Amino acid sequence: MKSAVILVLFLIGTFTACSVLTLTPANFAWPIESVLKVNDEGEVSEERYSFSFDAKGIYYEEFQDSLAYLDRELRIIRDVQGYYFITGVKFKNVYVFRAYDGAMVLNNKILISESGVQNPAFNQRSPHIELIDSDKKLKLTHQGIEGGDK
Amino acid sequence: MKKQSLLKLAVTFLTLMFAQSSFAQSDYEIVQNFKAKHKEIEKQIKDASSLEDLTAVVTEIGRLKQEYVEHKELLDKSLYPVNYNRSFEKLNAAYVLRQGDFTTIDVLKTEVIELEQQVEFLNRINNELLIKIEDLKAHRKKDKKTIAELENLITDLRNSLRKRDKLVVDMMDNLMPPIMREKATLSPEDKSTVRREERKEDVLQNVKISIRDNIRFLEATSLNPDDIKDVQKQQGQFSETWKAIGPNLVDVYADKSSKAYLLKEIDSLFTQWYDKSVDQNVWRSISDEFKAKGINLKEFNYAEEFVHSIKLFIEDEINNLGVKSNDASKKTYVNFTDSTWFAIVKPMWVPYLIEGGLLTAKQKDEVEMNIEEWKSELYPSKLWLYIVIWLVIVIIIIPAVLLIRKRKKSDGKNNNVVNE
Repeated sequence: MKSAVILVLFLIGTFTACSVLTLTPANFAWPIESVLKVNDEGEVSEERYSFSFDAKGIYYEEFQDSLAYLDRELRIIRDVQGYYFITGVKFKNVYVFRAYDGAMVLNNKILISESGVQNPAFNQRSPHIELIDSDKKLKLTHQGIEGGDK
Repeated sequence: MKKQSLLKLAVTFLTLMFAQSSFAQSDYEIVQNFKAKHKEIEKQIKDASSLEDLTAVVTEIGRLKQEYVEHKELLDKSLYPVNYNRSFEKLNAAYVLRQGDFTTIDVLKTEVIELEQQVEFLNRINNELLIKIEDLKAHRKKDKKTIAELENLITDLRNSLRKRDKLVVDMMDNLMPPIMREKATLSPEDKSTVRREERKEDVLQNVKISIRDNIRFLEATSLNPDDIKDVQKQQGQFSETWKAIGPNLVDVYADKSSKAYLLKEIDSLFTQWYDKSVDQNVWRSISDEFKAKGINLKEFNYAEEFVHSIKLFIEDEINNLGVKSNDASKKTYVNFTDSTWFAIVKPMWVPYLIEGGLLTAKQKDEVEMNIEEWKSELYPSKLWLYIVIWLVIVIIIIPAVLLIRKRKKSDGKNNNVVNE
């Protein structure tokens, strides 16, 4: 009995020490997307939110061409939960990233068009992100297309 | 006909409905469009060339506000660091500021017309005064009344010129409002904003008349150093204003073909006024000081000529010693030295000349050495006379005294021998 009490206390102590301070609710949503020009080094930078990243990887992933980033623009928006949604002209996918430890880490890759989008734009429609391409409208979450494949 | 109109209306309505449903709008595009239209209105305000243009902008502002009111929430969040209302406040502030510019320009244009009337009046007065002075100088009788009248006219003219020049400077100031003055080059819109159409040729003409009258004034009068310093100060102010405003005024008011010529002409008038006329007036005024005491020096216009002229006059006087009567020579000397050089020229003019770099200390010493030489010729030294007197004393009087004393002694001895 005594040893059981000690075990329970040990477990309580262990879980208490492992719990992380969490501030909720938090809203990371950007009111509008940012349209960022990719520079010659393959980097994009956002002035208002003060961040930048190397975008070459995303172009290679999308087009399998290491120079596909030249003279291109990326459209990027952040949802309420803090996921970054990235796409661009002729992209077949929307890439969902999370910022982690000084890097943009891919969370999901959502197929949106087999032939590639022609004139994509994101709108903030909390709690989801709206993707429009001329007459086409899609509701996205970090998990995929709402009402479509995840 | 009625049927056709109804059909058209229906087509339009359906098109709009279709467009609404088929084209989803990007928030980013809405914000970008708003920013572009906002920027366009800002440009219209900046480029407005009249109050009428500006009034048209008010409608544009109202239309933009109305068009985007449905996106206010989006714009409030997206127009970082401003928001929907603040962006319209900025437009309104720019509008009010620009409106102020035009109001100021209109007020200034009215002031210019008033100033011009005064300038015109003074131009006429000054011209009459200048003619009177030139006339009196040409037929100058030496009576006190004429001289007093001439002096009064000169004072009146000087005051009137000063007043008129100030008016012309004010007029130039008003013709080019500060906002335009800061611009290196004026756009066609700027030019039409400041340009006054009626009697536009008078603008630059008045500047030229001012400078020419000042040159005539300096040519017709003799001034003292204080007056000349006043004139130079006035020139400085006039010239500064011209440098700041003149090229823009020429740009606005002169024909394209005559711009370069006009600028050159006015610049050369300034040079003539500044360098030539003042310097000539200084030397002429000094010459007049001598002339007033009956000393007619050879004309001089700069320091070397001045020193040479004095040297010539003194050499003449020295050569004439013995030809002229001694009294006449002495009178000329006194008039030259005591009444003119030491009484007026040296204390009043020489410091001004040396300070202004018109005469060197060495040249002044040269003049005084000539005067000294003249004096020594006119009043020769009497040292030889003293030497003769001393020699007379030494050679005649002392031996005579000694002889008398010797005689007295020998007479005394003889008397003693007789008594014994």
